[in-house]
Amino acid sequence: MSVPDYLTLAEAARLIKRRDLSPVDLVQSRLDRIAALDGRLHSFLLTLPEEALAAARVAETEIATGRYRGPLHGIPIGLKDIFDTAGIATTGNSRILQDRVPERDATAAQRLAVAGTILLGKLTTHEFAFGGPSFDLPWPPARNPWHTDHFTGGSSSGTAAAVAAGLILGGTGSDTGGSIRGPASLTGLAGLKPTYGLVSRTGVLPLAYSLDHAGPMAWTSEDCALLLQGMAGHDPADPASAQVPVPDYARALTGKIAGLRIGVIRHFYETDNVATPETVAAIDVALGVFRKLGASVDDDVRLSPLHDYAACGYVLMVAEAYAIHEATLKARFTDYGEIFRDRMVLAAALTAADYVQAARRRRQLRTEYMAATAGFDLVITASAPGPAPRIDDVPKFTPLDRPSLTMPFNVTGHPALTVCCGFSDNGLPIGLQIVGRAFDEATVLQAGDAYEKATAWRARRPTFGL
Amino acid sequence: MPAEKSAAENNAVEELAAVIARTGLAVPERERADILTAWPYLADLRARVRRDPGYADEPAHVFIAAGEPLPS
Repeated sequence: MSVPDYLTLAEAARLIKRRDLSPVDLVQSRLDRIAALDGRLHSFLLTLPEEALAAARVAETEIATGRYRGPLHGIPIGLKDIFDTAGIATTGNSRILQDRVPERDATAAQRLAVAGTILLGKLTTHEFAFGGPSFDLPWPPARNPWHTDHFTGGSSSGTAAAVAAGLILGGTGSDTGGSIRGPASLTGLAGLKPTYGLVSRTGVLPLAYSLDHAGPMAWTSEDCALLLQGMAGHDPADPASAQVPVPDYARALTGKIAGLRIGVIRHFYETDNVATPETVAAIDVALGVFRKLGASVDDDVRLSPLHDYAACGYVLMVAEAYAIHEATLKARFTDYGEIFRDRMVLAAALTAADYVQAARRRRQLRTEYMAATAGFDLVITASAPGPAPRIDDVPKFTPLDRPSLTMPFNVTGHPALTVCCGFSDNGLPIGLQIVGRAFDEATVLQAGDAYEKATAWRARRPTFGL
Repeated sequence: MPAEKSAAENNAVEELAAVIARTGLAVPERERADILTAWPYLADLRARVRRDPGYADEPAHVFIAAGEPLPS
């Protein structure tokens, strides 16, 4: 049967459940799309066509014989190439690990497989989820499907490009300072950084232990809810894994948010990291939609400057990353890409006292954040200061030049979802962040879903710059 | 004629050389000028994470001892 170019994960799941869509046809249609488009997008660094079709045939048989596993059964996905896959190379897009083949799946990858997803391949990333966009790595940087001269954001760049282009229906990302939300914002997706500890990082190449999160990226908040359901849960092998109940996220998606109290951190994007006028305007219009849906919106949540949150997170991130890579950097410095290795030289200049002071500052900032937002169910701020820049116009030491709008919630550990809230004059997506209380992903996704259903942005798809 | 370097720039050059000597990282000469352009950010990062904490202000991730069975 003919499969549409674009389907959300939830739409495909409903069709598969009713047996109106064959997982084999769906997987074949995505493989055909990858063959046709990914030469320009570079989202995959490895595809698994034979394995994927074999798994799709198994899924089809299981579903036909009454062994339907749930809404992820038969759904084609991709994994960022820092998620270990047993018997399949996992490289972090680095020469350092170019030939590495893990023996076990990452816990999150394994859980998604058990839920019935079908792995189409491994998706490109900035080197070790940090160094990019780079042109001196084993695989080239991904391109933005909305305009291939533009950056996807990073580091989960391949997942972002592949979902936006309809090559997969969802995928995984990791987020240490914004690596899910940044690329999701610049490519018009929904991307969720869950609460620290909700999704296992076992088998995910680390960047910075105290800030690393794994999470879903997809076209809609509903799709993210379905993927999160497959990924979340306690893992004793991850020292940071939280022992908390995992609710039914899809049940929260009622489309209704009347009575929710929303606070807005305006100074982050209006004075600290000044967003483009069209970004500010898009967020203002979105706040009007939330009001219209019955939420109350308080426009003036005041925190320490964004720079403080960003600096705190950056010091922790690069110090921990340097500790992970120190021995290899000394032995094989020039085998790393230039962006990664030069950023690590700056990290090497930090002292032990700098790291401890950042960890002390982190506690202060988290305490401040929780006090300032105690009266709200959700907090909204910008995801990025503007739409995607050209890929050849990204500073080598970003985000030191401008404080990251996403890092504050890695510092505090709260769940944060990016959703698309409009488009720039030149047709590139604009995003906003919806931040919730710890382990209250259900309310975050509820608000994202209600907003998406109340607006028309999800109907617009990329044109590949043509 | 190239402009004379400021004291801060000279300090940065010396600090980078010291980091390279201490760590043994084989930083190619051609990349050092690039790294130096980012050197001023270090002072800002340090200033922002040092906000006169009190002696008792603990780091965010402290070790929490879990209970273990006592030896019988």
